[in-house]
Amino acid sequence: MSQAPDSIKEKIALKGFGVPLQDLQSNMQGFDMFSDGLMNPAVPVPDGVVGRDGHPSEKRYGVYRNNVMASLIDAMAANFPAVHDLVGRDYFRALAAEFVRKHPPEQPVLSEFGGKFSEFIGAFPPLADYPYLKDVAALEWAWLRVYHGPNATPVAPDVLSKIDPAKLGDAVFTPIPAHRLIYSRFPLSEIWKQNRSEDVGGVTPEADQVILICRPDMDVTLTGLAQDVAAFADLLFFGKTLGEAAEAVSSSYKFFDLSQALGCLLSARVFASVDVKA
Amino acid sequence: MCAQRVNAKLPARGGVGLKADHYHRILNDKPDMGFFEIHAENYMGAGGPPHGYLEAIRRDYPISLHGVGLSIGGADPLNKEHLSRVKDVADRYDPGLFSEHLAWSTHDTEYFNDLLPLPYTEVTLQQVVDHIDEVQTFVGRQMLLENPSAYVIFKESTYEETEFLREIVKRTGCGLLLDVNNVFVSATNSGGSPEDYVDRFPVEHVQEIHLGGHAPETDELGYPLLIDAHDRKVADPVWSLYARTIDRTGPQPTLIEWDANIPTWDILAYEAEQADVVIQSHIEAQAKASEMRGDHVPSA
Repeated sequence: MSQAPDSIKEKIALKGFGVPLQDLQSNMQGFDMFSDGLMNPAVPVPDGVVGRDGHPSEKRYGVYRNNVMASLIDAMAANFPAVHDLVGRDYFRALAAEFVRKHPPEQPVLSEFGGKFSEFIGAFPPLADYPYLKDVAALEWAWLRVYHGPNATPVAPDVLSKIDPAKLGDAVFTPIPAHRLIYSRFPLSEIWKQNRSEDVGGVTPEADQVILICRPDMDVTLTGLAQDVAAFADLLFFGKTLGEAAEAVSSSYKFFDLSQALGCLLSARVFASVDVKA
Repeated sequence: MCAQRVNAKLPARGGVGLKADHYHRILNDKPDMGFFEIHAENYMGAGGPPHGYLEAIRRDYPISLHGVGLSIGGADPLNKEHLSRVKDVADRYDPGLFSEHLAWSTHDTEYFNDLLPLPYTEVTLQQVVDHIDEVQTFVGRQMLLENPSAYVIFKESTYEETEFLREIVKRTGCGLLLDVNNVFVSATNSGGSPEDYVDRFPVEHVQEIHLGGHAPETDELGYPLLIDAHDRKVADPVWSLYARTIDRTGPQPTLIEWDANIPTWDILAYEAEQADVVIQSHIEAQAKASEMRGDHVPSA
């Protein structure tokens, strides 16, 4: 009997009670062989996987090959509908197939599949002339995470009226967990409106956009933020006090308008609580 | 929250898979439906609309929880993190039944998103038994195991599927989910008799039935190759096989699976009503047979 490869020995190291080692090895090899061809059409039909005449059947094993690739590509299309529409159906399916083969899912929740798609698109040479696609994929991924993120009740937009104005500088703003900031050099809000048929609130700068994605109740909302407001939001999310954040942003952006920035973030309802630091 | 919910137990009636396309119709109209089945993997996010809708629907309907990702039939150890997420969904929604498949979907950390077949041998039997033990112990509920649809035959199999399932039940105490469309698909694809399969099935352990549509194709030799597509109405011969099944199992909660090319609510609900019709005529036939035998029928 030939020696089993080390990887198979490792896999079966914890089993083996009552079953001959040889049977365990050949069983594991059977699963290895069945798996190998699922995403790779060049791999022949595994030995012993047969049709009614007792011979290997490409068409029958092909049902599994097709189910695996088609369903994972469908999952990618469901998770990235704007990328799908921007590149077109045929291109998307070919692109997603490449992605699936390179980064197959490692767990069964498909709404969590595709976290590396933006990075993959950015490094995909045929798409080098479409640099915004990477950012659209990042925005769609952020949208998904916010959609499925934890629920939390945001504070009312007039919350600051209940805080002693003298202590406002010490206020700490805790964001709701379902929020993300996406930075881009491209007009993402326009692309989003056209491809996802959803409005984007806030400002629409011509370039260098920051989009705040959050889910204050059941609906995910997108808000375009000016650079200075985004920098301010980022500091507040990080746990800086209002005073600290305002001072830091004012030193970099001389036209920073604190009350306008606060109004924008409070009406986006991205904060779960505002507390004055003791 | 739980106090506002209807009882978890599934009635022996038709039910349908819960689809996002139908959330609003269900909540607005509160249609008369036996139960809804959910795929566990669709409700594993922390929050958001899927949970919002399901919470509301669970108040008015019992649900069954159907996992597609545990890879019970695989050679690798179960994914503990995923098992823990399955338990979270079960704890959150208190399903009347919880089921998974005699199939595998993960190997060497890759998740294939398909219900892949396994040979039926002493080794795979022990693997499946160990996995079901682990699932039932961890989730704290009995699991129903579903018979798969198969497109290939394994030369190395030493068990008939019905015997394999019977042995698994004996060793784990799990229940069975009998998918009648899968019976039809697998038997046709392997050249066997679907009726024989149902007649040999350990029906005393069946607690739920699945019905779904399949797509007819042929293999390279010209033999029929049916694909378990869940994308159309239940085929007529599958309805006949269902009636034969119900005569053996008695009335059971019966799910219509329609997961692709999802129809309007009315078409889907009509399919579930057809299951009710079959169950009702079984009950009436039983009553009539009992009357003709002169059995004492207790008044209601």
